[in-house]
Amino acid sequence: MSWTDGVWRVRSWLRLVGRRATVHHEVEEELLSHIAHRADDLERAGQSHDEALRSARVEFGGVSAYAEATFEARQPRLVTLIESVAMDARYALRTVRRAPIVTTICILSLAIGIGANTLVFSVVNALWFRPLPIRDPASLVTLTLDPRLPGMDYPTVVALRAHREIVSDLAGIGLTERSNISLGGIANSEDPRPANVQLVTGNYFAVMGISASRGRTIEPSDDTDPGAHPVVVISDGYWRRRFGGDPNVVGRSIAFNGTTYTVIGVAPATFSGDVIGTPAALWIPISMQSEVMVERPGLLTNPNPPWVRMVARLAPGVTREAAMHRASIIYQQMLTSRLGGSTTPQQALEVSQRVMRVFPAGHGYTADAESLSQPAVLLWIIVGVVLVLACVNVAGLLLSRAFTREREIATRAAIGAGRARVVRQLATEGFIIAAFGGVLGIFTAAMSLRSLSAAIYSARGIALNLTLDPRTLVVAACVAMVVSLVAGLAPAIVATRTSLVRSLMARPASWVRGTLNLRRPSTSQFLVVGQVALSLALVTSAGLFTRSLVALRQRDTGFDRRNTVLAWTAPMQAGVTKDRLANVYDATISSVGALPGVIEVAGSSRGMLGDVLAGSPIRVPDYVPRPDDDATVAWNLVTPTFFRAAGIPILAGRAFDAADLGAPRAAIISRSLAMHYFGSANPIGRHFGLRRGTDYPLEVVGVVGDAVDNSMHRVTGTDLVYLPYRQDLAHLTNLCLVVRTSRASEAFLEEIRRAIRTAAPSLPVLSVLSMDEQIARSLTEDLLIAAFCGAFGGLALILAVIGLYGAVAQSVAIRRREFAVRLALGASPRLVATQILRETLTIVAAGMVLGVAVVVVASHQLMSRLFGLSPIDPVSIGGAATVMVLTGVVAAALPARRAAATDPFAALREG
Amino acid sequence: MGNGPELLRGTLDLLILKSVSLGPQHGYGVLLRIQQISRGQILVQQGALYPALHRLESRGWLETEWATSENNRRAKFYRLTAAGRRQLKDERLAWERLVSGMMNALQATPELL
Repeated sequence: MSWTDGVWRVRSWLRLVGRRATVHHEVEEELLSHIAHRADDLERAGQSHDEALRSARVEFGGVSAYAEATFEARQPRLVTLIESVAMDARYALRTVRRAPIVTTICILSLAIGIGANTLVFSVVNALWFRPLPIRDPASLVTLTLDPRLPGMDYPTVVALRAHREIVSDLAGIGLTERSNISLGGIANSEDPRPANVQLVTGNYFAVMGISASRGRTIEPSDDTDPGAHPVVVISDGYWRRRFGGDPNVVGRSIAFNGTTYTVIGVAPATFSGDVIGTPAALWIPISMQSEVMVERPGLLTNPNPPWVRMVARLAPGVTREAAMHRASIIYQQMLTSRLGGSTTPQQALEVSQRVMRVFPAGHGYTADAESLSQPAVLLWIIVGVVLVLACVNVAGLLLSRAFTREREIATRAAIGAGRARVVRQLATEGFIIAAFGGVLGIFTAAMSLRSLSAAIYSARGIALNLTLDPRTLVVAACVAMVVSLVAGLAPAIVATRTSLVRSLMARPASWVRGTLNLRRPSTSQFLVVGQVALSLALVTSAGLFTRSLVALRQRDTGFDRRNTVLAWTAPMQAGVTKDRLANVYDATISSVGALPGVIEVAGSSRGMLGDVLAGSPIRVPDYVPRPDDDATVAWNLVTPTFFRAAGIPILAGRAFDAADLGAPRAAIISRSLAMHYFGSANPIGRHFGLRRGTDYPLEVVGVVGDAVDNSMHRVTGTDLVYLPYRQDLAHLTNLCLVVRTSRASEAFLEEIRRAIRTAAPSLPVLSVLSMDEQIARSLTEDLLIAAFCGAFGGLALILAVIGLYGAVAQSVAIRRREFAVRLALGASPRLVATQILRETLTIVAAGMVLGVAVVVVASHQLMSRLFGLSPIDPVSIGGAATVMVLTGVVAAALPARRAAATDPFAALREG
Repeated sequence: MGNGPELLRGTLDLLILKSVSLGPQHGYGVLLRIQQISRGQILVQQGALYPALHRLESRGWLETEWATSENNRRAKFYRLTAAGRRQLKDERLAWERLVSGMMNALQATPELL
């Protein structure tokens, strides 16, 4: 098309748009002129004037329909398209208005489906896809030996940073939590809640490309001599929370662990560090490490503990592979020189296996990514199924509409409207429903982001910043588009395919199609079977999760959960040093023990149902571990009263007593550990060793019952060693008080908190809660999934009822004549109703068989989330099946009554 | 006017171009002329004629003018343009190739293979 041609076309479009009405009028006039000419001929052939005109009109057919077809045949196409789309939309809106309830349900179910999918994607996006709000996130990388544990020792970080031929810049981040932070110059302003602190190298903000929203960020000059620069950059959230958004915050200060830090700046609101789910509150120069982490000083020069994560920008022209190769060589040389320059062959081999790897880091660091992906996938499946069901319903609705409009469609096809035109008109209705559903769904998702974020925080302790960023919106829009294609286009194509063929068919042909014949099912019956199957699968899953939750709540925990309070403290976070720990603990325990109504108090390093996961290798004389046995046991440092306070029975031997502080060192083991390492022999008096070494310094003095350790979900007992807490102060870093009370423990929570505060003001109390509450918290995720699945299962059920009702009602409408004949021949209305019911339940049964198959296929995925029951659980499946049968009866009731009430004479006269 | 044998796709366009090439005509006249020149073998559905006429007009092969018909009625007259004449020639060649091809194919006998 030449340029002038194009201009001409545009002008002719514009003219045509302007003249639209005129052209329409002109076409009609032309057709009327044709009819007039024809009438003239007929009149000449002998008919009367009026008669001739009438016949000419009848011969010609619908003038307005031909006028439309003629108008559409005219170029330019775009105008026609816009015009006819607008017409389709008006037409679709009219038909949508005609069935408001079903349409509303369709729109709502699509909205829920699209909204829920958008929500789940917003989580996945926040966890794995969304780039950090930093400069050029795509070029940020991390250097690590192991992507799951990306820490390095600080001297290595410093050494690698110097290699400018590999990295143009490299920053290090160390994470810690600090409690009891006070505001400088304000008495009693300590906040016991832990704040996330990031110890960062001076170039951190430069590497990230972040500048402060107030004041300045940490700069290399703040990270020179150790302990010399007590400055802090605070997050926007911390600024608002602790400083009330004070505009003059720069220059104020915070204090903890005996050091006062001057606030030099506030980070922008968008930036909260690069750890997903753990937003930073404070950034402090890493040179202050010994002051911040008083319990663990000197890490800057210690070449062993891996605690610093690296983020870097590679030098220009250096690929990730090249960086990997060169950094590994440097690191291995460093390791060799640390070994004194000469290495044994064994050492050389170990060194050569330590390979530095380079990964993109622009999406941030997600700790525990693997354990998050499993529930995320599960939720995605659930919301995906509901979306499919909603789509199927809309498709089914449109299909049945198309069938009832069969004649109209056939007429339109006959006058040459073209199949594409008819398809488009039907699909428009689906598009409109999908569009409404999509907009409503995305809106609902936007409204629910906050509560979803709160739910994830309560289940997992992860603070995700969920947003509908462009990526999420694009995904949501794509989902809505696919939905509209499935729900709109597919039924339009199916309907026109059959309609065009059937346009010449006589009525009885429709009878055959209308019967609910499973050997020759219609498209809509296929859809309904699929719906029943999917909703049965969802309802069964909801039943499984609920039963699993009940089983978890009622399980035997191995300890006495009644009247128990847990008080979690974090001495490390407030910098209580090791030499003072035992005294702080003793004072705390005796203070709480003095409270009236307290029967027993004990201290435990591991606590109960907490997230302390300390474990060590165990060595038992003559025990040779199997290849799959990592011979690792968990340990718990406890006070002598622990077993009484927790209500864990002593099965053999004795509890600790005051004499156990001497040698040989006493240990108490759990029953499963005894079975594992000592078999059926009596373990009392036997020796074993923990951690590395060759000796066996620990003597078994008692065996206690297996108790639930960290996870309510673990079916088998944990291999657990209890040690007297004063014997192993080096590892005594956490303390959880276990308090047994004389009556309902809720009444004691405040008193206990106060008692700890009085006895040890420096000890941060993270939480004081009853054991029931602790159990409930550890089951939050199960509760949320069961509730989520139940809600969506219910929704699926409603959708299945609608789908089923639609299919049955359509079949009854089509077969009016059949019922009329049968009733006229003497069949009782009851018989007709029973037949409808039987046919409906046949469809339900087919769906149920398919649904159970789905459950069986998905059982592997379900298995890992279920406690104490198999995914093929007869109660859950039976319950779901009963619900489905009831659903079928409900869906069939109204159409069956209508069929039975058919008036034979009226129906046959119509036919 | 009843239904005649079904028209092949594209045939109607060719017929219209041909009948208009014999002299300007309004829609009803085109209909009658097709009937006449095909010796009553081909009957076109009345309404179906108009989308085709307008399509050909929009492609620039026909031009139109409102005038008074032989019945003394207002009618829209179609006339072949130069482009329409070329189009008629092209389509006619294509049609003749199709017909001769079809004839050859249908007259084929085993001996000719």
